[in-house]
Formats: sequence, structure tokens, C-alpha cells
Amino acid sequence: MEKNGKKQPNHGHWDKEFETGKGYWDKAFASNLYKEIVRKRFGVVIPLLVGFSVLFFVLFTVQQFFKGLADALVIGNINFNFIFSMLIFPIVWLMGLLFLRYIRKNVYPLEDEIIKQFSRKRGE
Amino acid sequence: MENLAIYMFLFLVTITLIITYISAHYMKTATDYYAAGRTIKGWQNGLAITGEFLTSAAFLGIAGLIALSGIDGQIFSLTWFASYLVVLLLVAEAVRNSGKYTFADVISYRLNAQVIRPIAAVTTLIICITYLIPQMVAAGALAKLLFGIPASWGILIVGTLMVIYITFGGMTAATWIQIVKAVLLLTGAYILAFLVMAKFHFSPSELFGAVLNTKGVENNVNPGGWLKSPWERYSLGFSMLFGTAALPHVLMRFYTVPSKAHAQSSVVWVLTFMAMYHVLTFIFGFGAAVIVGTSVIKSLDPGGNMTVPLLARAVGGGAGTFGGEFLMSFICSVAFITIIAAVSGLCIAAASAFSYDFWFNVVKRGQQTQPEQVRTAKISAVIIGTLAILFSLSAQRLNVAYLAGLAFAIAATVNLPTIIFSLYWKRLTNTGAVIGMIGGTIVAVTLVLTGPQFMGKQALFPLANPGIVSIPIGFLLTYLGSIFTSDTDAAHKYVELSVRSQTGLGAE
Repeated sequence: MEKNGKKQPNHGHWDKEFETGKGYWDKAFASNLYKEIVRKRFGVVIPLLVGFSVLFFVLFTVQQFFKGLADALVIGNINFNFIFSMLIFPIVWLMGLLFLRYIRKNVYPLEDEIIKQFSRKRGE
Repeated sequence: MENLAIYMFLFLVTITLIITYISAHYMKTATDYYAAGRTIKGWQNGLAITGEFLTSAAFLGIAGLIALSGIDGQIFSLTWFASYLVVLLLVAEAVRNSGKYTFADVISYRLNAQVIRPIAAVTTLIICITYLIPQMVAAGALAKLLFGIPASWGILIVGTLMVIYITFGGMTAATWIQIVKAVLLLTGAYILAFLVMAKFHFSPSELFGAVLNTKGVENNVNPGGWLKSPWERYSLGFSMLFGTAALPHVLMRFYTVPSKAHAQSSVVWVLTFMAMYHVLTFIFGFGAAVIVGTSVIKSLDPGGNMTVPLLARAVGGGAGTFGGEFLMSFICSVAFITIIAAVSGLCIAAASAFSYDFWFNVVKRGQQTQPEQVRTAKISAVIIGTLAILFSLSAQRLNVAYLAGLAFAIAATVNLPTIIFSLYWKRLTNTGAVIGMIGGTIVAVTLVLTGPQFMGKQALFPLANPGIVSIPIGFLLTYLGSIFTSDTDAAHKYVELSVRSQTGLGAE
């Protein structure tokens, strides 16, 4: 199955490899497209997770150990703790929305491409 | 008021039975039963998951906690809402891409399914049943207060409706009932919040001022009234934030949507709807503390679960007025439907764990026709529903509040490490997963049963929520079990699972 010195995919062969889990998935795993998907995804997931955890750690720490700051009135009768807590709603919601937009713009096209490439190799 | 509440409840039950009847007509295959035929859109799934999470604890419990113990109760609102960001970042797309009906599909993908699936089925059953019982016992108590009927009848009504919905309507009925319930609950919550805030000229500062000027609750606006120990706060907070990503009945919902894109967008919808509800809980808590008074709330239920209905009656015009009784009846009926919808979601997750993970995949080794699979699922739903009713009837006089905490602790300690390591760590072995799951269950159960929720002042373990200790132990056990053993098949399958979960290649 060689043409111009290059190996050509054999659909029957690919199906066999797919069933045994060898070759097909290894090639997809080793592909630059897959590496790019993982790099782009975790380039955002990890900072967001760290930021999210720090946000809550700071909130819990302020509530527990910085009572003066937490109880300080900021707007009328509303204290700092309440303002901080309520800000978490828009912050986390925005994190989710921006992540979704980023994934749709930067990762989904790559995922579609890898599915297209490797589904063709499987003869789908 | 009892008659009005009963009529409203019957009206809502009729709507849910119509949904079940329609759903039953579309249910032909196992995918229809377990995953609603993968026809649920992102926003619909978002509403259904929101409904799944707006249980009686969220609707009745948080407001009561804020009214009686102060703003610390808001920790549940913040963490339950924010936990969906973790779901979005780490599991939503990966679970949708690599499974079929249950979360055990993901963890058994690269491990020995004959060993892992039964363990996953058992943990799912424990989580769902322990979550179901307090909900059903609460339903009994609510029925007694609202409709004047014995608590046992309330449990029987809730249990029977749950079995009808799940047996005849499967996941489609469970999903649409959750959607209807979430819409009703959000509507009721906004009407109530509007009426409460109207009394304070729509000024949160004025509401806070009223709390500060009310004797006995003046410190409720400041943190520290309920969560005294820092470890209790960190443990409860981080368990809730990360534990949701491991709840089987939540993960199962990602199989009801047609694609990974819908799975991810549904989580952003969850964040939207959850935020819409949870930004209001302080209004209910503080509003009730000022308008109703803590002594009145405690006189009806020392736990504060009647806070929202009492507040509804007060702002609707007061006891004996049509407005007050109507609003209270509406809120109570929604609360009752909330419980029925929540237990239905748990029941289908438990039934799927038994019928699909254990019976179909382990006992029958995947050899069942579609009608046989659906029949097994329906029989499982009836058995699990009946067991839940019997357990709840016998648990009425016991303190079952610790059971909900136990369910969350097991999910976060057992399922979370297994899911995360399955998806993201090549070295995970079958032995490591088994040690982590069995050891994690033992640790979570032991810490909850020796903690203050179960043993009170004689507690051997100081934290009511053991997450800060049990979750790292769960990860550690799985890690140690894996690094001291080898599993070349699991390592090779990691490549396959990785590609599938990260890209959607080969996903159904």
C-alpha cells in the first residue's frame, strides 16, 4: 500500500487497528493537532482553576481571619464581606462565559479538524 | 390554606403526569430511557441541571440558615453556584465525549470494567439513596405542615410519583419535570424577592439596616455566626466547590445533549440560572428575620425550613388574607414539586447504576436487546423507588440530616479522584482505582459517622464536613495504589481515552 513512497491508509487495516485500540489512537495522540488542542485547552483551564481557588481561599480567609475588614461598612449598611461575596457571582459567570467563547473560537476548529482527519482514516 | 395548597399541588402534579405520558410515547430505546434520546438542547439541560441542584436544601434550607444563623449560610449559595465552573473546566466535555449513559462509562473505559463497574454502581447507589432519604423525610415533614396529612403519607405520595415518572417517562420525563420545576421555582423566587425588597424600597442597604436594628439578629450580617472554625469553613467550602464535579446524577445529564458543544453551553446556562436564584437567598433570609421574626420561624420548625413559606405569607398580605395564603400555597406547592423532581433525578441515576452498570455490563456482559435494557431499567426504578420509600418510612424518627453530607463526602472522596485520574493521569491502574474507591468510601463513611453531625458533642472527628481531609486521602490512596502496581493495558487505553475525551473523536 505505497504510493509515491508514502504509506497510504487502508480502510480495512484502520478498522482493525481501531478495534484493537492500537495504531489509530496512537497516531491521533502523537499528532500535532492533538498536542495543540491540549496545549490551548490547559493554557486556559489551569490559570482559571488556580484563579478560582485563590478567589474562594481569599474570601474564606477574609471571613475567618480579617473580621475587621469583613465587617467594615462599605456602601451604606452593606459590609465588605457581602460586597466580596456578591462579586463572586459575576466573576465566576464571566470566567465560564469567556472560557466557552475561547474554546469555541480556538479549540473547536482544531477538534473538528482532528475528527475529520482521523475519521477519514477509519473510512467513515 | 390547606385546601388552596392541595389544589395547587394537584394542578402541578397533573402537569408533571402529562409530561410523563408524553415522554412515555417517545421512549423506545435504551438511549431514550437513560439519555432522553440525546435530544435535550443546551439551555434546556442547563435548566434541568439547575432544577436538579435547587433541592429543598437550596430552596428552603439556605434561607432558614441565613435567617437564624446569619450570612454564613450564604456559603452554600456561593459554592453550589461556583462549583459548576469546575464542572465546565474539567469534566463536562470530557465526560460527554467518553461515556454513553453513566459516569462509570468514563472510569471503566481504560480499567477492568468487570471490577470497576460494580464498585461504581455501589457508590452511585449509596450516594443516591443517602441523598434520597433526607429529601423524602423532608417531604413527609413538609406534607404534614402544609397539607395536614401524616408524614408517612407525604413520603408515600412523593415516592409513588417518583416511581411513576421514572418508570414510564425515563430521563425525558425527569428532564422536563426538572425544567418545569426550575422555571416555577425561579418565578416564585423573583415574585417573593420583589415583594420583600418593595418593603425596603428596593435598597439592599435598607434591608441590612433593618437587620442591624432588629434585636437578636443584629450580628447576622457579619460572618462567623454559624461557621466558627476556620477548618469547618475551608472544608465545607472546598468540598462543595469540587464535589459537584463527581455527583453521578449531575454527570449523567451530560449524556442527554447531542454534542460536546451543547454539554459545555449547558454548564454556562447552569451558571446563569443558578446565579439568578442564589443572588436572592440573602433577601429571603434577612427578609424573614426582620419581617417574620426568628421566634416565629423557630416555633414552626427549629431547623428554619419553613422560613420561605412564612415569608411568602407575610409579604403576600399576612395570615388570613387571600394574597398571603395564595402566595404561601404557591411557594409550598413549588417546594413540594421541587422535592419530587429532585428525588426523581436521583432515582434515575440509581436505577441506571443498577440496570446499566451492573446488570447490563457486568451480569449480561452487554448482551441484551434494546427492549430488554429498557425493561430492566424500569424494573430497577421500581425496586429502587420502593426501597427508598421503605427506608424513608423507617427513618422518619431518626436524624437523617447527616445523610446528605455523607452522600456529598462519598462523591467527592471516591468519584472525584477516580474521574480526574482516569481522564488526566496515564499511570492510573486498576488496583489504584479499586483501592481509592473502596478505601475512599470507608474513610468518608467513618469520618461522617464519627463527626459532629452524627455523634454530636461526643464526636471523635471535629469536622461536620470531612472533605478537606477525606478528598486528599481519596486522591492519595488512588495515587499510592497506582504507583506501586502496573497496568499496561490501562496505560495504553489512556491514549485512546485522552484523544476521545479531549477531541470528541469516536464519541457517540
